[in-house]
Amino acid sequence: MTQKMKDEAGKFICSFIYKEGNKAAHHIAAEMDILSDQLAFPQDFSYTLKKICIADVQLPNLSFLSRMTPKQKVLEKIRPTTLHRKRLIEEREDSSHSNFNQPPHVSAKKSKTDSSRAEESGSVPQVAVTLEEVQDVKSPSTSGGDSKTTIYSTDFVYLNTPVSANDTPQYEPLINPAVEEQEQGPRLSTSVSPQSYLGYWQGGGEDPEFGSFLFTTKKGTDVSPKYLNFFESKNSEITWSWRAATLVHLYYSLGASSRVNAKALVCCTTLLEIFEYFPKLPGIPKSNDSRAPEYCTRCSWSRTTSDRSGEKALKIFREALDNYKLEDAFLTKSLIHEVASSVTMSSSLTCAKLASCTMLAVVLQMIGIALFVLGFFPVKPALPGISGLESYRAPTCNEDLDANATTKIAPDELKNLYKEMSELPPSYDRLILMVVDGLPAEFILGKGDQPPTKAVMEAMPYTQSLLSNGTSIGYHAKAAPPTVTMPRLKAMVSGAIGGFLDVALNFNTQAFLDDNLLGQFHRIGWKMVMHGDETWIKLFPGVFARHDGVTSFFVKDTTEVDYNVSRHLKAELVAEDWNILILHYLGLDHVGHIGGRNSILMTPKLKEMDEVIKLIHTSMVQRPEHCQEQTLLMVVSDHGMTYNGNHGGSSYEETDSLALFIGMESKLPQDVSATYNVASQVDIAPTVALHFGVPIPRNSIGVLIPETSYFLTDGQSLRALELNSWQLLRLLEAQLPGLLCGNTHVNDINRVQTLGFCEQEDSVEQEFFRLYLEAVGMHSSWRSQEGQDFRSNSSGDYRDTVTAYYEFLNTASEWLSRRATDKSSDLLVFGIAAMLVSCVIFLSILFWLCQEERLRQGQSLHELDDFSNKWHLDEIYIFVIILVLVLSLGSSSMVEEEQYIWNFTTSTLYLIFLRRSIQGDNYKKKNLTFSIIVVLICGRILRGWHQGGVNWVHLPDISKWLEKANPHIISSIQIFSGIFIIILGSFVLYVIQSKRVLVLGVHAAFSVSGFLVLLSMMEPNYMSTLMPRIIYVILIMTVTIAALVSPWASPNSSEKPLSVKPNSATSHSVNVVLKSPIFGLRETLYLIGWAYTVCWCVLQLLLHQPINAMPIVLILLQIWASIYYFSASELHHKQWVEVAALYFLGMTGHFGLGNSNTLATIDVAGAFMGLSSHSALLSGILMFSITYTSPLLCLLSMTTYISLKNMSHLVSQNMSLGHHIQLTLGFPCLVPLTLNSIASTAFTIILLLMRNHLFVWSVFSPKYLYVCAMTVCVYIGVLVVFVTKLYTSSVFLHREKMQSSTRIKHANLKQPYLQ
Amino acid sequence: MGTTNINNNVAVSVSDAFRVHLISVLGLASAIWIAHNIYTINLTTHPIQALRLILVFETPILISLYSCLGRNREQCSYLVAVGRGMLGLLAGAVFMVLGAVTLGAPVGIQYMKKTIYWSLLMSSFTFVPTSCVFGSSWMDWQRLFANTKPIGVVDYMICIPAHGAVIGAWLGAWPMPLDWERPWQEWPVCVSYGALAGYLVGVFASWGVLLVFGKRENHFKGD
Repeated sequence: MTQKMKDEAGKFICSFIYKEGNKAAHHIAAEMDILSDQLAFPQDFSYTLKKICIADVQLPNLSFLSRMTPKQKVLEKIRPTTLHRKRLIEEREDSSHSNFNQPPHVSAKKSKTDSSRAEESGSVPQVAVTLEEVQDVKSPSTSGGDSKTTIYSTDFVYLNTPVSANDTPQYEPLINPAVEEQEQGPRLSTSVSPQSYLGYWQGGGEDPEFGSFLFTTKKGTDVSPKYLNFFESKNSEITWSWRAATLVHLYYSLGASSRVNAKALVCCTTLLEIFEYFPKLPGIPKSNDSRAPEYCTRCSWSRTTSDRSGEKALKIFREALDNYKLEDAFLTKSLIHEVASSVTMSSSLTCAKLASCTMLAVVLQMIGIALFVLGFFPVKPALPGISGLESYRAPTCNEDLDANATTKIAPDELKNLYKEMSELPPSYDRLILMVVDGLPAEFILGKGDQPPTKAVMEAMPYTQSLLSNGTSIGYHAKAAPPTVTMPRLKAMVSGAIGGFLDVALNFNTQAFLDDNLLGQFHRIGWKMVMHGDETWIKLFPGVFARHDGVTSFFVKDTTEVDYNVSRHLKAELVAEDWNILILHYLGLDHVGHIGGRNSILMTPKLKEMDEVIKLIHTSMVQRPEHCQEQTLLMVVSDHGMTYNGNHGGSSYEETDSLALFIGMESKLPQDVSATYNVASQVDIAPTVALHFGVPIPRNSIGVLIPETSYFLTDGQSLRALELNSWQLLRLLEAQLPGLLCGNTHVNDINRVQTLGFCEQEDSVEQEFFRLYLEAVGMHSSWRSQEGQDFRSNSSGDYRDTVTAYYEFLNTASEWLSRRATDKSSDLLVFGIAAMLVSCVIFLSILFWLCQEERLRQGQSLHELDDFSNKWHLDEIYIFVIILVLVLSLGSSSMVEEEQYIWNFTTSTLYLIFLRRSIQGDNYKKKNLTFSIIVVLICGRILRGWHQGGVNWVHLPDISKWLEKANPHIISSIQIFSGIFIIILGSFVLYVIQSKRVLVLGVHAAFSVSGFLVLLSMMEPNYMSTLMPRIIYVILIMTVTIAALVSPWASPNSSEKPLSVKPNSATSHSVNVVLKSPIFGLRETLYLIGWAYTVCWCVLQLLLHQPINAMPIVLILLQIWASIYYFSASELHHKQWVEVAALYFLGMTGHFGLGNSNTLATIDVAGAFMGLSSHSALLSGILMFSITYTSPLLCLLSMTTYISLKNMSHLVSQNMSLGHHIQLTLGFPCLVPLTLNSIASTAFTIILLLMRNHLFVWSVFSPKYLYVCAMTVCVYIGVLVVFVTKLYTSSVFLHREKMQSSTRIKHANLKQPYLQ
Repeated sequence: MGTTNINNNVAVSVSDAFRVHLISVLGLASAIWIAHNIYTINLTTHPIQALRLILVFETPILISLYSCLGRNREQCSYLVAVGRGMLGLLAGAVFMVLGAVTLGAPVGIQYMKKTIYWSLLMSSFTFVPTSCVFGSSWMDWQRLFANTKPIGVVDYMICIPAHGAVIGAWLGAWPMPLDWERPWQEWPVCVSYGALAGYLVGVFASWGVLLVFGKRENHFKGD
């Protein structure tokens, strides 16, 4: 067993040395040089040698490693005291003591450490070699007499493997199966390579002479010269087991160095790097940097690591080795191959898995967002156009809704036409609409059967008297959420409950374009006057003949707002010229916001309102007799308020708004209660429309308020109901296509009767249609009866007809309103669940990638300072940023002022990078620090360029300052920016020193388009549609050619490679890169990435407003400076930190370009650049690209980032395509996806929680649209990067295969390995 | 390298550290007390005056206290240490202004005075003690602020309150963009409050740290 194990151990180490190839050989050679310098064998025998440990002993089979299994015990670290030291030294001097000649074994004071070693860990592992074992050794070559004496003072062992000195190294690739088959016994190609470096060390390689190597220790004891005969030439024929000896020496040295006073490590530390390939050895520093040997093979830590951290590093080495099991070390040949190819084999599998997981998560997220949007913003099919004459005709199947038919008719004519067709004379000619903002109906009508509180009753005596004497009728008009003024006003005048999306879709205008009452009145030529909340003026621009708007901005003002309305009242009441007077009092709402329902200001305010009502009503009553016009006073409120005075949600207190009709004197039957009626806010629209002789607005879902029809004749009231039913039927038809047409065959009463009996099979359509036909049927029978005899028993019929109509109307209205406002909870739950699942998938993939990277890369030795805390400050801070962002999304003012957050967090992140760049030795690299400072300065200018946001948008900023100044300055800045981008682009391109035709061509195309853009900047009038189109074409051609052609045209790996400037930092990395085809790939990607970014910038220079030219340049500069910093620095930020930093830069730039979370800042002007006709798709794409310029630029620049990122330490020679893509593309694609997924998922949940928030429609919902658009933006960017990388890599792989197939013919050629 | 530091810091004991901290906290408290009770001003209403008052009280105290520590450490004259403290105050103020502007502090004539006073205050919490004790020794500055690896009593005394002040000021900037329309949201009021609070927390934290680890350090050094 032992012999086999010895072989395996040796082979194992050798194979990994071999795998490291050229580089490792160099390291080892250097190592040996150092050692040989120190231990140059002297000719003079009197020279005192350090202890030499060479013996012919059996390998202690490494079992001591497994012997020290970790225990759960508290672990010790030794702090030797002076006394102890003295004692130890004595012990070592004393030959009788067991510690004689041993390294100091201190077990003095014990304190806790994080070492996982057992109690015996204070001592160096004892390579216990007993005499018996030695006698077992069969090796005959050890010279007899001396060997016994050797044994007793031996610390180290060597293994006797017959290896011929003439066995010249074979350099076939390890995984070449052809070579494997040749390997037999000791002649394995893998097992001979260590001899090569030993030979190199000893004899210069021509005539390798083995056997003269000293392993030094630091014991300080001298070595007896008797060992020297081992070095005599006769002994050089002995084959020494250097491999095992080296390994054991390494282990011994680590032990000796991990003691508290150790500052140096003397051993072949290259072996430590080799251990990186042991997958079960986490935490061992890896050779990810070529500087590693430079630092760790010297016998001192002093350059980068202090004594403290050196100690820590040693401890980690020791721990790792202690926990190393025998089965980890002894691998069979097949296992070695497995390890060697694990990189290739396993990850090509996992790469596919990774890609599919990502795809799954992306699809899930898209589904989730779509479901949520559908659920949260229900889209109801609205009827376009405006109600006209057709609303007085019964709806028919497939009727042509010609909205323009009525516009040609003159107002007065139209009015008369309406009057004729409706068969319903207008009851009133004048309307006074008094809106009291925020007045709960409870104040006037009481809650349920309870009258209002006494204080409120006393505050409004006149109104109460109106109610009690039957001259007015009041309703609890249920308002639909959101109970905020503007949507409520819209609902009142249009009778429709608007969705959010239709607000979003016409974001560029605030005007209310749907069919509404005011529009109808305007159309019949009525004159309207408006005083109060300026929301009305914004909603209906140009409708009012006179208006005086007050703003609701100053919430603390409770008197002025109302005085500004009331001061016009007297004049308006006397004036005869208006038909509609709208008064909107904001004061009561302000009182509520300040002090709630029970505020001391409430009673005076109610009294004031009462006074206004009294004033209006008396003026109505005392109107001169000659005025035949009838006036209706409607006192309504847009919404109620909670006890604290807030509103916006859907509680009873908030939705309980008032509708009070005053002016129907002596027309109310006594049995009708004036106070306890319940209606809906949307009912106001049809009621007013029917009473004032205009068509009901087309999308109204309201129902004629029953009691208002009491003063109509029976026929008129039935006609009114009929009109209302027709209107609702048309709306139903829009939502349920086929309602009319599908049911035409049942258009007779008999069928209705039969249908009535088989209700069980009713669908919604049939149900509605049945109800409708029932009502119509009764109406027509009532009508025929009316014609025959003078209503003998028509009263009953009439009642039945009315009931039937209301049954239809109420059912339909309820169904419609439910469709408009109900958020489908199923959709919301499924949407959020899908998003959460996708977020978790993203996070776990990312976590897995990080683990993978950590295992692969670990940490290089010169970063030992940070060994103790695995988390760097920048990594922790990224999590802080994410947390802060998620939390800030929940606050409306933080959402409004998001630009502050991004700027603040991103600047802080770069300040942390700055701090990192002056740690350790790094401060000497001035250009790194400089590049971060460039990013910071650009960021600050960007921040100051546009103030942005909502609340502080009026504060001065650079763009306002420039706009105020001479306009030439802006255009000259714009031209400067254009020139700067062209120059900067050329500079960055020629950092690749390749002057190939393709590069030149791409550059020429870019320059041409750049100059064309410059030209169009200088001559804005020259800007026909042709010019932008030419630029579009050139840019698209440039990018396409660069992306498609350059992988084929790039130099292949055998040509002289070209050095990319930022990577020529270390000669070693270049050495590796030169060897691999990766280099050509990187250069190609660099070119493509360059083309993406500069062409994007030029395009945006064209599309954006002149003022934004400079910010685009600044963003580009920031991105390039950061990419330079990340690629040139050897600080080894985690890759995900770098990608996240780029993503944050993109977001900061997004706000730096003047964007905000309101829809108002979207730049619509640029979206029509070069488009001759209106195309929603093209202009939408352009608008999207303008808005998301910065994030897309950052995502596109990931291509450049990938190309420049120094992956040489991760890249092995024989790497599959999948693995390569996973390594290079994993983080740049997954980090943006994950960050976006976290943000969108968090905001979706927040939006759901905030659905009753006051600002849900004004702040959160627009932000949600931005979040959705950002998701699309991230998908696009990541897809572009992914496809580019995939395409380029597969082209290279293909070319590589082609090349290797030709190369196989010349396979006999051997490349010299040691250069 | 590391051992030399330990040897130099032996002169400062934990109780010295307590005394220094106590005096500086008392100085700060008395400045605020005087501002409130004698001049009846506070940071919110009169940021410039209040900051000036705190500066006038606190900076001399800090310079004189930490110059003593500096003298103990390197056997240089007390006056030289004071001079280094003054220079550190100015250099630190420049540094702080740059940092604040980078993070989005308003730039403008009307804010200039406030920014300067605030930066002087920040500087006296962070740069003054360090420059009094360590002068212009890059290794020490780097150890304290770039690597945050304090070794010994003096390092802890300087490092933790300085970091506290910076982090406190950073956190203090968060309420600024909110639309609460409170007067203390103005630059640099809440940032100054944050810095003061952070400094105090840092002082107490360093007390705590020295109490816990100080004994052990002493034992180790005495060995």
